[in-house]
Amino acid sequence: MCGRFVLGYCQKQLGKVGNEPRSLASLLVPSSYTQHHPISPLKSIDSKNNMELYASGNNAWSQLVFEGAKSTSKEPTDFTSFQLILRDPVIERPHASLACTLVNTSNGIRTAGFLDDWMQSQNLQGRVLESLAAIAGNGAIAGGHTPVIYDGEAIVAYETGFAALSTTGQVWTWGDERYEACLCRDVSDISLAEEPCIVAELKDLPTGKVKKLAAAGYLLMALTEGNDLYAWGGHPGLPGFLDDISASPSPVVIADHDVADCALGQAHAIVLTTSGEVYTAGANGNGQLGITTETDSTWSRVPFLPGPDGTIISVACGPRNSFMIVQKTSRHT
Amino acid sequence: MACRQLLHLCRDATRDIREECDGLLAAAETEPFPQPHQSLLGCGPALVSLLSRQASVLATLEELPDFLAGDLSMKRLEDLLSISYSKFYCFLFKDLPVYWRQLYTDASILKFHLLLLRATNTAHSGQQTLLLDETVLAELVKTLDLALILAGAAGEQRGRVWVEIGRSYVDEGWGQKLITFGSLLRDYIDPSLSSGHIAQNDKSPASEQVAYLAQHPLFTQLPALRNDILVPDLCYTSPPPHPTDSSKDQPEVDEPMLNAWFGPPVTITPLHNDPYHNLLVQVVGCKYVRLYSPLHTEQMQARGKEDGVEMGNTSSLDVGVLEGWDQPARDQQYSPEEQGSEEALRKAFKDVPYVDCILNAGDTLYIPIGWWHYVRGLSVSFSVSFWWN
Repeated sequence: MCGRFVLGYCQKQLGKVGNEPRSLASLLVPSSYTQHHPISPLKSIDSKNNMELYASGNNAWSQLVFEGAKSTSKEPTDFTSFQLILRDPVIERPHASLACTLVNTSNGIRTAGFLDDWMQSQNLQGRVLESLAAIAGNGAIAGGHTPVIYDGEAIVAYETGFAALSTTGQVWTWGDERYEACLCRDVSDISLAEEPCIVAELKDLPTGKVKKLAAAGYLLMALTEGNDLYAWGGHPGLPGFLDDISASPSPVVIADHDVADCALGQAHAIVLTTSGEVYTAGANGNGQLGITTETDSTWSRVPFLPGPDGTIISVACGPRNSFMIVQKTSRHT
Repeated sequence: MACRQLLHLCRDATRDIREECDGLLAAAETEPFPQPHQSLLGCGPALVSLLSRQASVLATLEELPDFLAGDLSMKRLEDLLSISYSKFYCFLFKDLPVYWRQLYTDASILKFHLLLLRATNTAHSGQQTLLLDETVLAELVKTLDLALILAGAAGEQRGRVWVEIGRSYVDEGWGQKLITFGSLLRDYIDPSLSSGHIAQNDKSPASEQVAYLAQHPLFTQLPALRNDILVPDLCYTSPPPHPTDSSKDQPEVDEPMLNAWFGPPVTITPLHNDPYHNLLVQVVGCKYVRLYSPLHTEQMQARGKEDGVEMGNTSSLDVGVLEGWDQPARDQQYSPEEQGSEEALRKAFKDVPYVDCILNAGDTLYIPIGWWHYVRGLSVSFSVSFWWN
């Protein structure tokens, strides 16, 4: 049913990945039932390693463990608060699928967890990290090896479809017709659900054009150049975790804050404010909110301090976990 | 002792699941380009390995109880259930790959095993026979019922059914709800049944609404009930194809499709047609049925695609409202201008010829393929329908 917008390819490859043989032993990955300290804090600031990646949430496949011993037979536990998982001179925004985390570093792409079939294509890994390709919950892939829209800048996927942003700030959507609210436009003979079409409602927003998109589950978000956040979508049979979500973009209000960055998981959201604070909302079954509460429909501030020499510069989400990137400024200069 | 037998069955089932998962993962490793598969591997090796890991945790827990490991495993099984369940929404049910249903079923079986193991571990303290607490039992049954109803597995269980809430499935506010058969009887069919429960809530929020167990594959869920039913010989004949539209004809079915229909008075199945020949057998109570010929399909004002779902077999006309038996739903009340066209509609519809009857217990009505039918419960009613071609 999604055949028409499955561009590119989804090559099923189940062979070996790099030097990591896919054996059952390698699935029994490290962990302990106590607190995780995957990386011990450094005593002095190493000016070469001045970026840090923190994560909270689902770790069922050890996808939050880049380093450390991989030799225990115990089941890996989830992280219930943000913890340091990687330090490197360069850390770009990670891409996290259900079982795997990919991140571009000064040493190239690093992976943790269990690589999905489709991710084993090196080409696709790169395109996914650059937001040029995305995979929807129903298995459809967009942007596999050709751009979907002319002048495309980023593609994001939700459960049954996609949204794309052009360099001129226009938003396009396409996907399963049953969930029209996610498409944010009226479906008709000239605006088919399964063909990329421009979303008129996101064209003339009061605070400038859209500079970033996020999507997951049945929810989509757009961030404007004026740092306003809008959300739309919804599934008629599933309760959403944010109030007032409809087929029309509505502003997401987090106290008086302007929004610098945002990301969406299957049933949760993370937002970085321009004042450098991080807020989360939604399901917390795997600890993906980085706070100690069950499910919260209002935004909660994550009690995380990047330190006096650190600034949170970006946030990201997997389906059931969350990430933040911290930039450390060297004290020597 | 039945409990110990059950544990044995669980142990075997868990071992089977683990062996299947490990076999699939090993095969995936040796074969670099496997063909598209319908096996569990379709969910991706990550989920298969997570399932296999929980099966081996369970095997360890059998030997050595460990509450922390049990809790983590329960959480992972819940993760697997919610991951596979989310796929049920992504696809139309007919397009849903079978491996997502299998993952849901297998995770449910492991969850059942874990719940049982926990219950027996806590009850262990020197008791000769293991008695399961009623709440534990209810949780166990719910786990398997959900697997059966949502994922369509096979096995044994005790009654939980989908019911339609609302008068008719085209009404605003119509919904589906999963409730126990007991609650259907108490809250919707016969409120007097609950008077015995002294602690029962005084206000029954459900009682204002109509619940209808409609088109329910009850006999797949409870095979024992299926034995009470004899399929009429007529269902093994070769009836003619659709009289006007051959595109409606379905591939020939091996066995007639049985559905149960159980509800209080004023349950309504709106005017629609089916792609099969139908024998509607009235078992208890009575129903009013009205039939329109497929030759009058144009006057039936079929609905189109609604919210991406094809509703073309259902008429937009509400027979009950047009005949003045029912009030139009609040959102469908007409403005004065609309009232005029509404009147014209009513007139035009009155002229379309139809046949109708009241089905009493023991009656069977043959509804040929393509014929439009409207069915209205007149009493508490139980019917069985047989579809064939």
